[in-house]
Amino acid sequence: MSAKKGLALLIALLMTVGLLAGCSTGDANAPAEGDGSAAANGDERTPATFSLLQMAAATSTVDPWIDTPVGQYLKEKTNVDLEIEYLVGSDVRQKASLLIAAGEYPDLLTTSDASGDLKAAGAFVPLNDYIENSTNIKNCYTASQIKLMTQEDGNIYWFGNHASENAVYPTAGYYLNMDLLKQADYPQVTTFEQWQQLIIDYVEKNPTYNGQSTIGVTEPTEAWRASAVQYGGSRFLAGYPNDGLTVIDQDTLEAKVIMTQDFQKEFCKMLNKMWNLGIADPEMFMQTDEQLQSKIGSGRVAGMYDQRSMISVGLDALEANDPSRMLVAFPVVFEGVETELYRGARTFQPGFGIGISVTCEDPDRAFQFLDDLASEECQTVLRWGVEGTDWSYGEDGGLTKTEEQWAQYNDVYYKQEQGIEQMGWFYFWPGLEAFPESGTIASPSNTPEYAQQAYEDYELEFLSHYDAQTFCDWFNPSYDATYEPGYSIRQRIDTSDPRKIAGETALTITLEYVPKLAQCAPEDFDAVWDEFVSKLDDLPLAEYEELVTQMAQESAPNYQN
Amino acid sequence: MTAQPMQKQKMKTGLVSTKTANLIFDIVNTILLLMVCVITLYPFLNTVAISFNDSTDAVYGGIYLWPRVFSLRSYETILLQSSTIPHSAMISALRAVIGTALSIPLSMMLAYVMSRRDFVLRSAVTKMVLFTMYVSGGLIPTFLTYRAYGLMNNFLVYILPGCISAFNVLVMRSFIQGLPYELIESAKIDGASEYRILFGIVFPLSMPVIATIGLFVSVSQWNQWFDTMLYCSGEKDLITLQYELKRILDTANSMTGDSVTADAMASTASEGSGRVTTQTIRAAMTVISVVPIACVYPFLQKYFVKGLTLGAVKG
Amino acid sequence: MSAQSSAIVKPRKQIGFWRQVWRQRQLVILSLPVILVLLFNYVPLWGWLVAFFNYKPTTGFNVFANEFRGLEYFQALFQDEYFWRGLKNSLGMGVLKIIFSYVFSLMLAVMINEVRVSWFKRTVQTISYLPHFVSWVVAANLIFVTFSPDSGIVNEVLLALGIIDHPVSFMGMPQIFWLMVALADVWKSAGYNAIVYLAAMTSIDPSLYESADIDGAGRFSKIWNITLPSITPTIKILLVLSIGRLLSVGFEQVYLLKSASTTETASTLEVYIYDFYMKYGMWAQGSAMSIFNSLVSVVLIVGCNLLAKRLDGEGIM
Repeated sequence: MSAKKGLALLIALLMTVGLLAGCSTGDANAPAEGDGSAAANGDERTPATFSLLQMAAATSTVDPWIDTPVGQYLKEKTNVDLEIEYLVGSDVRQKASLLIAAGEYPDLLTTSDASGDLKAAGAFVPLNDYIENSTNIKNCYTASQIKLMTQEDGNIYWFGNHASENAVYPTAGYYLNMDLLKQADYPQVTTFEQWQQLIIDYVEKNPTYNGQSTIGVTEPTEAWRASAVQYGGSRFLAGYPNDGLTVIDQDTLEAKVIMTQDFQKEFCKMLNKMWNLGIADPEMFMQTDEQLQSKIGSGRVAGMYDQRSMISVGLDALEANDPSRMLVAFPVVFEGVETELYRGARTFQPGFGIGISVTCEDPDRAFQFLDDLASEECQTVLRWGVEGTDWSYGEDGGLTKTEEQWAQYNDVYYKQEQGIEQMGWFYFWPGLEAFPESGTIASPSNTPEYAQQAYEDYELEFLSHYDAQTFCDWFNPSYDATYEPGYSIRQRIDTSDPRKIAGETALTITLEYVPKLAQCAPEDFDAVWDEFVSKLDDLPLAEYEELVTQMAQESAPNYQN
Repeated sequence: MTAQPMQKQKMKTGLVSTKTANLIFDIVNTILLLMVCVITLYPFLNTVAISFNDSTDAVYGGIYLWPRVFSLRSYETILLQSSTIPHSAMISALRAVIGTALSIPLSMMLAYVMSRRDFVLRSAVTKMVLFTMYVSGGLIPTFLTYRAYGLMNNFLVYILPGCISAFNVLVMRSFIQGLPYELIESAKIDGASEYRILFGIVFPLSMPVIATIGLFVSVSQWNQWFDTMLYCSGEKDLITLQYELKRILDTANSMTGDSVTADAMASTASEGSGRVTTQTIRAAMTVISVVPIACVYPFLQKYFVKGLTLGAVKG
Repeated sequence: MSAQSSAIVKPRKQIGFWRQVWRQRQLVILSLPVILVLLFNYVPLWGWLVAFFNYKPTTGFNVFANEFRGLEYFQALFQDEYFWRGLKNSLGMGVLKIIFSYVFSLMLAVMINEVRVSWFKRTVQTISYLPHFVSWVVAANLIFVTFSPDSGIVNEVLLALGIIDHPVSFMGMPQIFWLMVALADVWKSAGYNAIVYLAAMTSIDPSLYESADIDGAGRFSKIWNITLPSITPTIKILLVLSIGRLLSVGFEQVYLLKSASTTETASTLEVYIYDFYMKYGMWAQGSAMSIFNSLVSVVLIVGCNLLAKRLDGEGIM
């Protein structure tokens, strides 16, 4: 009896589970239908819903983006509802492999690091004809950019990314504490040797700050952040721009892997020197990124190299706690190097972007959606926000923000809630160029108006000592690219290519050796370096260099305007 | 004549010294356990303190047991900004409840047959279950197989694959083996069916282990996000709480991921697109995920902290 | 020996296998959940084929559409010095972890079991399992801060007590990394693991303790002679299970606790396979490694089983 009851119960339970599952899958198909109410402004577009996979983590904690004012505005304009999926707890590679194995993709998807794999798997619809017949998109790209986006098989599978630049702060540099600079009477820092000496002198005079020891030099070394010590810091010293794992000769376009170069050796020697002087961060090679940010925030750091966007968490905290010890970047080079290229080339990046997948049921409508988004009105809303709330037309017909609206624009949280600047994949119009109708620079942060209010008082005071307007003044300006940058090439090479793997594997080995190089006795340095280089000998790095060289040279003609 | 009182005397001192020994034992034991409490409670209290702290200020470090700059922003970010949170919490709760409700009886069935030494297939069943702990077909083959079963965007993918866990079944089996075998014997003699023995006798006696495994299963169900990522990430209605929390958390590293994209991003980054600190958000998430478990826990705890009364065993 | 008793001792030979199965059909029905295991754990094992081919995800199920490579990927693994380093680290960490987590969680369970005050018992038990819910990311950060040579609490205390004269970077020393991982694991999971033992202890007949009291047995004697022997099946099964998982040290934990300076001793097999292969979508090598892991586990578990049978006449299978 009771056994039967038990079984009955079990079966009932199983059925409930089945029902539930049925329900939830059933629901899934529902929203595609009754969504017509969105066509509020009498748009003739048929309502549609598309799934979009962004092959990167979400940029905003506000979810879903489509529910933000900006998202809602665009939904009404285009009559398209988006179901956006982000990368969660998975790397690009893994996610792409799963999609490829299943052979089923979201309607729209962005490529980031998996461009090569997705292309090889035939995940994308060719866009050439669509672009030719488009209303807006064709105006957003120049002929040479179209050429750059065209793959070897003659097809365009995804849209590239327009150049952008930060005109207020340099993207990378050798940082020094404002207090150090003040004590040294605001010197113009130009050479690596000078930079080191300033730190050494400063730490000697100011061994502690707030009861804790002053940190002469620290660097990020957590695996995903270690590029600064693996290759990122040294290339600039030798006068090269950011070209990924390699440096590329500006004339011959010949690529060399950084890890074994003499200038990388010099960089490690600096770490070794600082370490043996006892003024390097004792935790440098065992700290998490969070600890690093916390140190930066405490104002104890005298100097370091990094990319600004990577340490913004620490810098924000420092600005709130102790702005007089803010870090300022300088374009230091080795003695004898004539020009520095820290700010690098402004360039169109064809290596990754958004495309329409082969499993999208209505690619025509999907492209129409993208084309609608490329209109000036939508592009403006994506970057500037909603008219009235976030900006208004000025007397000259251009876009303008009030002081308060600029303050909101500087507030990351506000931008997330409003939905502003959250969907970079949709930036079809180049951010550095003016919109055809309003005549305003597309990206708010590149307008002259923005620059005028970008700095706090303490920053203006500091700049006055240098007779400078911006923190970029002592850097060489960025320039138009003459070849495809190395980082873009690095991204575009198929990840399963053994040459690429060689380069990336070399990084893993480098990270193991940098601490050894820094922490050994000065007289052992050369021996450790030789051991390190011999470890890399087995890898086909020369072939990797050849590949990058070849790709850079092939790209060059497309970059001559 | 005199021997008796002497013996009594001896016993008394024996008792006293046993008592003192007991007392010393209790004191030392209590002190050690208090130390355990401090070491294990501190990180959690620290997490709570950080979760209530202002996020920019938290970067500065040095927060121990009390927030320095009080703020509810992290909780607001998690609970208010994402409209999917309530629904995903419901899905997580559902999978915890249904997953546990299904896993416990099925695991007990296997544990029971594996505990029966006279069962001819015992060894075969045991080996089959046991080796699942050590073999795996790999991510992609497993994914493709489950996909072929029609489990993509299907709630069942949360329930069925993890239903039988070798660890759980074997722990249950050893508990059942510890039960007095005479109970089963006598029930058999009375002509009870195997079903009746299992669900009528073994089940109620196994409440401690059922509570334990129930806790393990529901906690791991509640904390799962990886299967959501693999099988249900494209289906908004099936997203679980931990997946949603992880999405918010990953925002912190959105610029980074790896150095390949970091390089490219650095050259496209405009002012104001820097990283946002999520240390406090992460802390708030930890607190939020523990709350429901902390609510259910006391009900389960009584089963594995209090010993069974002898009456229960005999009844 | 009568016919009756021999029928009980050796039923299979007497009745025949299939008749015995039929006789125990109720038990067979109760074994049906094994189907789930078959479907979800064994069917995907076709994926082991991947290790012998130059597998591309584009081919999906059709492994044979890829180029056959034989044992090439296994050879490549075994010829790689980093593989052997990974194996050494996995073994070292695995052994330490088993010993530590095993001993400490059992000890904790016994200690909690000895508490007589009910509320204290419940409180300790609840608190000690809390770290289980703190994710490794949070835990790792806390560990780094606590052991920091730069004003971390452990160094401050040791300096104040005069035990060391300059700060030690505990988390940065390759020599003690295995130990730190094992300790971190104890801290995070001893309380949680203790629950299983506590549950087992509830089934101990209280009359055993009562009669021991009458005999004047001390607390240690009762622990040794009653508590531990009563939960031996649980102790045994957990030990065997964890030995089988010797090589699975826990990727997340190690990956978060390791740093540039501890790479030498922190690179376990899992870290190695991730850093050198999986990151680049090299599924075949990943699969080869997974087969290797499974083989090692099965050998270990079968060995343990034999040993257990030798020692007390009963294995776990």
